[in-house]
Amino acid sequence: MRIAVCLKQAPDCSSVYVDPVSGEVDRERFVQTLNAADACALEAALRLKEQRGGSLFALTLGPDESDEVLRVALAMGADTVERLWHPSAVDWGPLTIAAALAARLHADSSSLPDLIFCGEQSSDWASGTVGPALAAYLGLPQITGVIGLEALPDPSGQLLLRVTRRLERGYRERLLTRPPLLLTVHETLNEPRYPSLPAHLAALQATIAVCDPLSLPQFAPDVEAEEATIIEVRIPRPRPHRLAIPDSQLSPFERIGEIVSGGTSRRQTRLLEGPPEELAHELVRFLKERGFV
Amino acid sequence: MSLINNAADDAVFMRGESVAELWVVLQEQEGLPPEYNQEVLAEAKEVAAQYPGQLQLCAVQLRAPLSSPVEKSTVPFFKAVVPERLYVLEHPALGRYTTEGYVAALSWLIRERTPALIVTSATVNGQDWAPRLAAQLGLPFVARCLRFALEQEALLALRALYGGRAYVQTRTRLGRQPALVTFAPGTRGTPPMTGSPAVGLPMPEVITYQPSLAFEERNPSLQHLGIEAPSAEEVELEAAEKIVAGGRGVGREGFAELAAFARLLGAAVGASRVATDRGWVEPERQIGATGKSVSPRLYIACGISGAAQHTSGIREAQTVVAINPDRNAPIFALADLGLLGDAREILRHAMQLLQEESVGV
Ligand SMILES: Cc1cc2nc3c(=O)[nH]c(=O)nc-3n(C[C@H](O)[C@H](O)[C@H](O)COP(=O)(O)OP(=O)(O)OC[C@H]3O[C@@H](n4cnc5c(N)ncnc54)[C@H](O)[C@@H]3O)c2cc1C
Repeated sequence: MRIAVCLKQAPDCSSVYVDPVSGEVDRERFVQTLNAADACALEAALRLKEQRGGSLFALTLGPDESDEVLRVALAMGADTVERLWHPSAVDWGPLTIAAALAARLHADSSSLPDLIFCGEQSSDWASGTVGPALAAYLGLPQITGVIGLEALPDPSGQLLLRVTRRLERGYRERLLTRPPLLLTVHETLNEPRYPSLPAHLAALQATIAVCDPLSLPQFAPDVEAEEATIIEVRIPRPRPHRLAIPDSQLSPFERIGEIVSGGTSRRQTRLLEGPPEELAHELVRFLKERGFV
Repeated sequence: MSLINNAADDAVFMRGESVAELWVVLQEQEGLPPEYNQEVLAEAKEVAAQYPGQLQLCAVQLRAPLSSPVEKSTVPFFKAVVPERLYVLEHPALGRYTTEGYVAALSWLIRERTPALIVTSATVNGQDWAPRLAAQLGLPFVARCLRFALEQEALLALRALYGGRAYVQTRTRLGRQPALVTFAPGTRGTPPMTGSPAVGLPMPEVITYQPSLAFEERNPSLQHLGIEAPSAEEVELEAAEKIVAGGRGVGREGFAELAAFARLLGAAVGASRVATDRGWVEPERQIGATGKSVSPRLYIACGISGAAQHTSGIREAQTVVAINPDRNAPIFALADLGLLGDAREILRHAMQLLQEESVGV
């Protein structure tokens, strides 16, 4: 089985500093890492490879520094890695990036990988676009927002996957599927492994193959059509914190009471006493009256 | 440069016709709050209002045929904002969400009507079909906007960067083809209701299509096993309508009963810090100053004394019930209903009553 995983280097969000006056993002301070969801995608791909055998190809599009994420992939267990880059790519949006990745995956003499993993979204722009767009360009079915993945034993010997997708408010969708397929992985899917020290050192020595996406036959970016220009970056205004200010009309005792209660407004309380059965009746009646059951 | 712009006379999306269309694609899914659709409608209406008489607000609904008539099912849902037009696209494959179904149906409708702009909520499913549709049709796409506006030849969008540490305003050039936008859910909140939906509000013009769709990329091996609702211990507290919370007075064993009661009520489980510190429940369940702030319609506090650090997290709760044997517990000052007694016993009896009723009916 051939698996490919698409990775991206992204700044750790806690290292992001925006100058409050100029609105400039201080890129010098960025701590670049393998994007969290992508690390989970890589881990998921590795686990499948270990279970079922096969090869894992890790692909990224990014400048020289992005070699780092491929070294992480090698250290964790990827078999081959490659970086796509062209200086003009700094301005590419997610659709163009997906088209470049698709062109690279198409360029292999053999057919497409059986499975392609992507992170659901990156920590910087969080567009969540590359995965579905890549699936569209490759003509593959997709499952996004994967939070559960399990390879099932199948009598035919083919890979059968049970996939859980996250939906809103804790709802989940369960699906059964077979390759070929593209999956985008949510960052809660798994706990990515730490590579061993020897693997890490070996990865530091590895030479990383680089490919110019503009040289790929299937890639003709229409950058003009898609791209967004950045007009302005600014920091969010801090949310106003609601302070509980006690009513000055009240007596000092009551004011202290209000402060102590955290500013939650006092209500007309119906206080009931009695045996638990009776109180339970009252509770159910109250819930019904107010339409909660 | 501001996101609020004055109307332009001949914007590129006009295409020479009299009225261009701004679509809001409605989403339906178990667990999806209706506000997510309503806030997109409200936002889109404001954008359309920048071009009076030129840009028409339309809603798009995808569904299986023979569902209940739209006048009954969909139209009452337009509470505060009623679109001028409602496109209903019916196909047997649209009974539940599939990527292929949505992409194929919307591609068809886009070719049919060529709107200027398509907006939908950036839910998990919205973020599933929208980028794919954009890639497939070669449309400009802006994901997870907090606000957006149309200029003469461009789409302005406000987006969050780096997990909300910065905002960015972008301009995307519009060509002759429609642009696609997803709107970050929960950004705007529910628009206020203007009166009862049934009276006074205009009806949208309803146009129903039943196209035959070709599903080129259908995956024959993709089998839907089902949708699962979260359990009481999993419902996100911030989003929960009802919360049953427990404190020291419930005890470790009592939390199982409390969770069972919450499940019966369709509520989420919450806790005081004592309960989370002792490992009776997950730390994410803690409510209060160092936990979560919640805004449920119903909050039932069991065995919680009502320390300020706890109650500061329930300021927005609408109805509060407290169960505690100590009549001097500060929590009673905030409660609409106070029950003096043992929380576990009362919950156990109440559970019995609720179960009997649901069986009896
Ligand atoms: C800096 C700081 C931050 C904090 N942040 C938080 C926070 O975010 N959230 C939070 O919750 N707390 C927080 N606390 C702790 C807070 O001050 C209280 O200690 C805590 O909320 C008390 O939890 P409790 O009500 O469960 O326990 P207690 O205060 O011990 O109350 C237990 C209650 O259970 C009642 N009881 C006893 N037996 C029964 C029974 N059989 N049935 C029903 N009731 C019974 C008792 O009468 C009593 O009222 C914080 C404290 C500090 C110092």
